[in-house]
Amino acid sequence: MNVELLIGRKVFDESGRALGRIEEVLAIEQGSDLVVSEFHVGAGGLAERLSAYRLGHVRKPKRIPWQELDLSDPEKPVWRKR
Amino acid sequence: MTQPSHATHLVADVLDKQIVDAKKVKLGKVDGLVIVLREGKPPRVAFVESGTAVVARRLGRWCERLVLALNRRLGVRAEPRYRIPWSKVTEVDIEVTVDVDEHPLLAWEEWLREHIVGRIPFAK
Repeated sequence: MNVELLIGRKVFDESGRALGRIEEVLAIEQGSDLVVSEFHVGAGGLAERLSAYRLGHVRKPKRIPWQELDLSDPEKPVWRKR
Repeated sequence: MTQPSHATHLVADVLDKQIVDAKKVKLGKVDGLVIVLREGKPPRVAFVESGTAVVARRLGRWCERLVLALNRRLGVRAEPRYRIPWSKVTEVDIEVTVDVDEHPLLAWEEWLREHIVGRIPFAK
């Protein structure tokens, strides 16, 4: 799966409501591997990616842990809250 | 959830960044990042991808097919996508430094030098 193809994809919750688009993917080192830890969704995620922190009215990104984002259909990621 | 201090923003910090080798020779850009989904484990960043076909795919399947057709017609590279294992990435900063011995990423530059630049009078 390609990260650049995930960016901009709309994320839906289990009821079908759109939460926002994937704007950033956070990764951390785990041993010798780099693994995905979170997906940042929504306008806050875009502001974070553009370093537009001075836009004070922009919300913080919605952070979805890797285990809560169902990517079985990359075209339609689903947030399955645990 | 607080971010670990050593977290890497794959889009802001890695994607579209310049790839260089240990001697700071430019090898291309990070056009794509491949992650591998694993059952019960976090997705692992597996490869850095570079190449015109990778960029074209971001614009759409039709664009990717066009680039692949052009690559076959011109015969510049055997493979229009070049993958570097993430384990070869030694540093992520303003540039992404990789530890590779071969440079097929420079195939287009060599083709241009041989077929275009080299034929310009007095170029040599």
